[in-house]
Amino acid sequence: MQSFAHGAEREMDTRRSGPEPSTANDGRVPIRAFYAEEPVLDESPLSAWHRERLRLGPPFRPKAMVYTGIGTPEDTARRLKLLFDVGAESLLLAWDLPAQLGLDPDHELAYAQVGRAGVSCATLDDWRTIASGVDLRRIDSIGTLANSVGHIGTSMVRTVLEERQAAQTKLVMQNDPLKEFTARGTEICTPEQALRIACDCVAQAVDMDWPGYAITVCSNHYDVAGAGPLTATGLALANAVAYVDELVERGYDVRAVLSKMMFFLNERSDIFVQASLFRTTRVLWSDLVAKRYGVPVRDQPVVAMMGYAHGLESPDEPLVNVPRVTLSVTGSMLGGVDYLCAAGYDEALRTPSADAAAMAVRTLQVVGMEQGVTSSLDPLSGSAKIQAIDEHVYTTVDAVVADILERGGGVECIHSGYVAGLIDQGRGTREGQLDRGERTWVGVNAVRADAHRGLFKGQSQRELDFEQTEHEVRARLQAHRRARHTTSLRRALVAVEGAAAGTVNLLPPTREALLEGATVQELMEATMSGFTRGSSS
Amino acid sequence: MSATRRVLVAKVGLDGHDVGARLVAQRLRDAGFETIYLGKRNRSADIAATAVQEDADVIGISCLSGGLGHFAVMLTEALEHSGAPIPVLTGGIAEPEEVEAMLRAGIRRHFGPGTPLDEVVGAFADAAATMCDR
Repeated sequence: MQSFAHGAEREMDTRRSGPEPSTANDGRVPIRAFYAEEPVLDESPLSAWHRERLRLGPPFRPKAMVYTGIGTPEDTARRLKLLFDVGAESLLLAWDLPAQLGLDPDHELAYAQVGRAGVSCATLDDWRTIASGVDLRRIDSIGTLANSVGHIGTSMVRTVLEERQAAQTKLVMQNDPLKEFTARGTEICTPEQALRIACDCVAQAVDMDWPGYAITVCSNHYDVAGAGPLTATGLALANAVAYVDELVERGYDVRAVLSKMMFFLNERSDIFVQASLFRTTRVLWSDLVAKRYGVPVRDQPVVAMMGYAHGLESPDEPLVNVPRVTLSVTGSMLGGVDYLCAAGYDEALRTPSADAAAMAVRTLQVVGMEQGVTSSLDPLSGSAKIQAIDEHVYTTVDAVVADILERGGGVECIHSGYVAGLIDQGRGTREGQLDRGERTWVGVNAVRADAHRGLFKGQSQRELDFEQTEHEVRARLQAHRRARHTTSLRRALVAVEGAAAGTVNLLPPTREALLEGATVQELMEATMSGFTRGSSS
Repeated sequence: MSATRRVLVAKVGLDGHDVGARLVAQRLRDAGFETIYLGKRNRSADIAATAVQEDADVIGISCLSGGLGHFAVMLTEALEHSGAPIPVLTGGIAEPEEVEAMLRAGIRRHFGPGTPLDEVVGAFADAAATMCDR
């Protein structure tokens, strides 16, 4: 597989057009790495981005990330081996909902939810098994969602990386619990406690100088919940301010914090708006950081961006979702995304089957490696159309951020219901546009060919017996519990509770408890117990 | 449209993606239904008890994370146990065999992703009409 960072050692003029033009196309047309006409300005956020990426040289391709996880740890290990065999470079592991909510698979609320929306992962041993499907030293990065249980997920990921001598592999943790309260729904504790957990993860990453991103602040889920992509981005930036403010309050250097933070943006209806959203958010966030924290652009780390390419996916003709996702991948890459997942063509039907997940990786590769999409950096720069869209995106998103900050910030606006109200205002926009025929949905509200839907089914099918999955992981968990040393486990959980009750970072005791065999639920119960004790003392 | 038609909408399982459930609740309200949205993470027994207590004419449940069939069948059983034959409609992602099992267990209709909201509202109206005719 082609290496992305092969140009790191190249000498090139980063202020002009990059290396010699490539003529690797049928017409031997010279294609430059960069087309900006004006000298790069040190104080421009886009220029800072250009300068850093040009240093690496073309292709300007994001890492091919997979978001996957299903069934038992062994099922997911097999899936991961397949996806990395076909060239995935980065893993964002999907935990099932019980794990994301701090519940073990035998909790009464976990029934019929185990291993479905992600992999069942209750212990460090489970994570070790999952990661056995991946060569951790060769991949670019690894992470999981673990938003409300971020200290547990982050500790699991880092522990296994270190056990496997892969400590330099980057983190791509989501760890953004504030958006859960209104957009995604796995909140467990109060917004303030959630903020504490997320910031403990970032603080530990700074303290230990862990490579990669300990937090990924998301607009995606706000958009999906109904806010629309621009309001969603404003909400995400306001949350990012809440996290950074908290860490600055703790005494951390802003630049160190920013170097551990990534954004996850989303737009799925227009590839030009999608491209604009990525490049404009770079500018907006950089301006915000300069203004709020007094860090000039030249001293800011270049913002990392993640995306998840979706289109207007149809469950009726799933194979037709492949070109939809391909276009969305294209828009994201034109906008300069750094990490990109692509939706499986069957995501409207089920957790992607193996063929759909592999096709998603191939889609990322084809767009990233063929037909010139990534041969020039920021190729839409200079377009009158993109400039006009950029201006609209900037103004709109900036207004949302200013509004939230004026109302006390992201946490306060969760409590006041303001964030939920903004989402309510936007909900149904897409459906209304489709109902009124303002937007076209091929095969649904235009060019329907119901008699021929079979042509577009693909091979996707249910692959697991989830009742069997639940049975297996519960039996595994019971055996795990019997094998533990209860005295040392109890001591380790008391340490987690003590940290939660005070201000000591949660991650070190969490890691120790994991090594003693603590389960996700036991750790979350100890954490919540500590939070309660701390708030009442 | 009669204001006495009352609908209970709820999320089941642990799924927190509620844009679909909220949209349906909003459209039902706009169509004249008295709509109660119970929110997320509801147990089937609690939904049945609330529906009986609130004198609901129709129940709509949603889950996108899998397991919808499990919760839907439990709900129909809980309603049967309560002696309250309230029609139940489901929405979300479910395997075809799971949908068949739900329909066999007495679920009135199932709607997958992308179903036009007018169609969903029409089905609730039909289901409510059967209750009012009783």
